[in-house]
Formats: sequence, structure tokens, C-alpha cells
Amino acid sequence: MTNNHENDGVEARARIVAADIALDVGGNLDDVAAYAAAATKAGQAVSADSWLLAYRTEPEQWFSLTKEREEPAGLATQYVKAMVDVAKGLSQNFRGPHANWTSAIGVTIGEEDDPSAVLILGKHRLLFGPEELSLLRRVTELLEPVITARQTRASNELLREHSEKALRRNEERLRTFFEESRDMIYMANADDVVASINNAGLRLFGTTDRFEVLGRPFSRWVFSPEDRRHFLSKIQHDGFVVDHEIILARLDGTKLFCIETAQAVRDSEGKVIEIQGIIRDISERIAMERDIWAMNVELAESNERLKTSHRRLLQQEKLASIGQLAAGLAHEINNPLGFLKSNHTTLHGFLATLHEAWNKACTLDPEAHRHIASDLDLEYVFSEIDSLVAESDDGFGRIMGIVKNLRSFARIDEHEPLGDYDLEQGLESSLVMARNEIKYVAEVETEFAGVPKVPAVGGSINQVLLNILVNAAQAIASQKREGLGRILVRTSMIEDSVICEIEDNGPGVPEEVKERLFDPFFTTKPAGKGTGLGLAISYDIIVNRHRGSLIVSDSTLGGALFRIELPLHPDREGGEDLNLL
Amino acid sequence: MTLSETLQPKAEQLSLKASRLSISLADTAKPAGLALLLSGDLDTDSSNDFQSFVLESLPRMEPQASLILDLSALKYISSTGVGSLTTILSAAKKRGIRLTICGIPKHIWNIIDLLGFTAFFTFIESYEVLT
Repeated sequence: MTNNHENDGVEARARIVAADIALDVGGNLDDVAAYAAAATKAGQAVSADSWLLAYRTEPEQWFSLTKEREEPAGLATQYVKAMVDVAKGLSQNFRGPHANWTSAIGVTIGEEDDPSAVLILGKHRLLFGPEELSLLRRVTELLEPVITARQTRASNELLREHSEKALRRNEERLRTFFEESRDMIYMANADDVVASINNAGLRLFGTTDRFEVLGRPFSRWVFSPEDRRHFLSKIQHDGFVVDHEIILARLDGTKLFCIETAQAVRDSEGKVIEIQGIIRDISERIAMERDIWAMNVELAESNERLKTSHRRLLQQEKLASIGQLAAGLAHEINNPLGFLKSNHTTLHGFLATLHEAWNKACTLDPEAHRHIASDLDLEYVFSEIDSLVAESDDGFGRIMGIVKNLRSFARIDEHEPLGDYDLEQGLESSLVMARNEIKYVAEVETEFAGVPKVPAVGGSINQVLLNILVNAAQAIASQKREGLGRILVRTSMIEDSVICEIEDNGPGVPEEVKERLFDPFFTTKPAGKGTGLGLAISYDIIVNRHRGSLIVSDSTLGGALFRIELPLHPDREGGEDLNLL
Repeated sequence: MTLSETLQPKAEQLSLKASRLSISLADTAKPAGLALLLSGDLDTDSSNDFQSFVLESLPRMEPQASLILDLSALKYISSTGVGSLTTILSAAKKRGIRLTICGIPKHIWNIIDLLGFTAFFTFIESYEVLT
């Protein structure tokens, strides 16, 4: 039974008790001490003999504090349920650890059905009155905000601890990532001075001393400082670079090809304050690419050399097949030519005999023979016989000359060995041999440098020289001109070869003719004058037999320039192996 | 139209595309042929386009003609850039065109040298433009 007067009394007392307990709960005591203090004071306020406080820190983890023992102990949830029943007023008995009360009252803290704590107070002999229960309940109500504040503070504290832990863990992770990355990660200030660098960076630079790197310009480690300046201007302009090539120069002098991706960090005004970059070593890839490029260039070059060889081989094959034809021809002609010549000689002899017979016969009967002679015009006949025979001899000679050319073209003399050949002496003798062709046509000037002897088949080279000299003379002769033409003969040396140049001031060789000049049977002379084999044979002798070169070009005198090059060491020729026949 | 005039539009197109590289063309008198003046960066991006341009232009040149790469205004070359030069060299050799490099800056030369290609190229001091 309560009345207003009594209610006011309870309220006043409740406020006093609550205020007192609030000092403990709201203060700096830890949870256990605060709870114990609160429970003790509450117990005193209602004259309880003992108290039992159950609280939990985790959902199903309950602890208990008692008056007798203020150290927390675990508490089974069935007792918690019993305590809650007391607090709800469903029971006044409580039997539990450290408590065996016939009279118990209690309160829950937090939600009634899911409290965060339960406090029960007990008396051993006496009973609690309704006033005491009201007091307890009112005190609890008044303390609610203080308790809530405390709990919030506690949970905030926990949260903060969690966050800090999480932050530290994250920092650790990032730090590990930075340090353990296999690529260089670095940071530099706006002047490109290194502020931090990871282990991979030190490894790439080839140093173990971090302070070799920190505080120093990055460009110290770059092979080409211009390239680093170029990188910096790019990153200033674009804010970043992606896959930018950088060549690092390590302390030991080795160079590393790397690739860099970096970004610039700007302040609020847009000024660059930091450069952050990742650098990866791509030396292996570059080495492979480089080898491929080199191979390609070499392949292209080999290709060109092969093409040249191929052309020459084709030329050789052409020559070889024509040579076989020529050899066959020569052989075929030689046989009948043989007995033609011999018969001719015999005939000449017989004619001489007949002439002698006639002369002798004339002495026997001059008159009769004079008649026959004039009838048959024998005087004319006898006088013509000699010139006819001479002409035929000449004809045979020419045919034999052609056969000789054909045979030499077929290289029947290939087995002749190389001797020590004096080019200048050869020129002198060739000039002598060509004198008839040249003397009424041109003046010859010689410039001999005094070149050494070369391995060569002397007769063949002389044949070439003669051929060219005669061609020069004939070219000049083909022009209508006043006075004599000029033929220049010059020798010189370069490196491993001896050079002979023969030039004239004749009409020269037109471009389209130059290409075909050394082709077998090609000739610009009218029919009957020359077989067109001379230069083909000359080319074959110089190029194939002697591994030299024979080139025609334009002379500054206006005509043609023939340049013969003979190597001093024909066996040592690098490059193509010309597999002769 | 001279060869440089024929190729100029394509070169301009390329300069627009590869914004860090620009090419200008000139017909040369001594040696006779074509000169390409590069300025800017021959990096991984621009070297592909540059290479295509030159490879397409080579068939228009006479055999034995000369092609000069004037690098005096080149600021930067990457290894891919060097690679494109070697590809151009191979293609020129196959066509009998004589490729030379003129006016190479020292730091660019260093990079070509580091990759071991300086022996592959011929470097000339100067050339005469056809007026």
C-alpha cells in the first residue's frame, strides 16, 4: 500500500541513492569495480544481506559478481534465467551459486528479455517489502542514462581499438607489399630526389646501401640523363607515363634495360610534389629482341650476297653451256679444217710442180706453148695462183683463230697453273702486239705505278689486255675525227689488289649496251667483224679464273673505261665460293 | 611531283597521329635520293607508325638510290625505336637502297651503341638538298 506521501519519500531516497551510484558508474572505474560498487550501494539502500550481479561481455558469455567475492566468475545461463525471473517479479526465491535466498528482488539492465546485466538482492531471514522493491526499480530507472553512456563509451573504445588494429594491419600489408615487390617501387620529390625505395630497387641498382640512393637524384642511376629529363617533362605534362623505357646504369657499370610506369602527385594548385614509380627489368626481353633484329639485318645482307652469287653462277652456267657448244663446234670444225689445210698445202705444191713442168715444156717447143699460153691466158693464171694461195692461207688462219677462240672459251686450257705475273710488263707486250691496230688511230699514254706481281696465267691476262686495247682502238677508229684519239693505260694498287685501267676518248658505251657487253656472242660490230666472244672470254678469265673483277664505266675522256682488278691472294677470297664447273 | 612531295601528305598524317614524332621530307642531290628528317620522340608508340611509313615508301624509290635518316632533331629513342631502324635497314638492303644516318645526337648514338647496332649503320656528316 502506497500513498503519495510515501511515494515522495521513495522518490527522494531513490534520487539520493542513484546520484551516489552514478559517481561510480559514470567515473573512471573499470567495469568490475563500477558494477561491484553499484551493486553494493544498491544492496545497502534496500538493506539486503547479499547481492548477485550477472553481466555479459559477449552474447552468451555471462559473468557474475557477488558481495562476498568481487572477482568475476563464469555463470551458467540457467541461473541468469532464474535471476531474470526474480527481476520480473515472477519469483522471490533464488537458489544458485553463492546465493540461497528466500527473499530476493532484482532488476534488469538493458532490455528486460535480453538484458546486458541482472542484479538480484537477497535477504536471509527477512522479506523485502514493496517499498524496497520500488526503491530498487526507481534507482535503476534513474541510473539508466548513466549506464547507457558507460556502455556506449565502452563499445566506442572497443571500436577504436579495432580500427587501430585494422589500420596497423593495413599499414603492415602495404609496407610488405612495398618492400617485397619484385619490381622497383620508388618515390621521389619534384626535383627527382629519391625519398624512398624498396628492396627490389636496391637490387636493380646493384647496391645494398639504402643511403647510397636516398636523398640523391634519381638521374644518378640512369644511363642517359637526357632521357630522364625527357621523362620528367612528360610526367609534368601528362601527369603520368606508362611503359616508358629507362636504361639503368648500376654502380658496377652494367646497364639494365627497364620499363617504368609512374604518376605525379600534385598539390591543390596543380604543382607536382611527388613522383611515384614502378620499374621492371626487361633486359632479357630486350636482349632477345635485339638478337632478332641483328639476325634480320644479317639475313637481308646474306640475301643480297646470295643474289649476287646467284647471278654470277647463272652467268657461269650460261657460259659453261655455251662453252660446251663451242667446244663441240671447235672440234667439228677442226677436223675438216685439218685436212683442208693439209690438202691446200699439197695442192700448192702440186701447182708449183705443174708450173715447173710447163716451164720445162716451154723450152722444148716455145712457139707451140706460147699459143697455148695466150689462148688459156696462162700468164695470168700463174700470177694469180700465188696470191690465191696466200689468201686461202689467210682464210685458214682466220678460221683457226676462231677455232682457237672457241676452244679457249670452252676453257680447254683451264688447267694451266697461276704464275707470278708482272702486269706492267704484260701491258707493254700487249701494246706492242696491238701496235698495228693502234698506230694510225690513237696516241697511247701510260701511267705505271710500279705494282707488284700477282698470281695469274700470263698468256690469258695478256689476251684480255690485247682484247681491250684493240676494242679501244676500233672504237676510236669508228668515229670520224681530226687527228689521233687517246688511249690511257694506268696501273695502281688498292689494299689487296692490283688495278689496271684502260680508257679511251672514243664514243663510249651506251647504258643499255653496258649491261650486255660481257654476254657471249654479243657484239656491236657489223656482221663478219668479230664473233662477240672477246669480252665474254675476257670476263671469264678475269672473274672466274683469277677471282678478280672486270668493270666497264664511262671515262672522263668521253669514251669507255675498262677497269681490271686482280687480287694478290686469289685463294683467300672471303664471301662466295664460286664453284667453277 | 618529286618523291618528297608525293610522300609528304602521308608523313603529315603520321605526324598528327603519333603526336610526339614528326617527319619532314626532302629530295637530296648529293647523294641523290630522299632524306627523312625526324623530330621528337621515336618511342614504342611512334616507331611502329614510322616503320610502316618508311616500308611503304621504299618501293617508290629507285634501286641504288640513297635514303638518309636525318636524326639531328630527334630527342628520344627507345629500344623499340632502334628496332624499327634495323627493320628499315633490312628492307633497304633487300631493295638495294643505301641507307645512311646523318646528324645523330650523342645520347641517341649511345643507345644504339649500347644495343650493339652502331656497326650496322653508316653515318654521314652532311648531305645536299635538291633546290
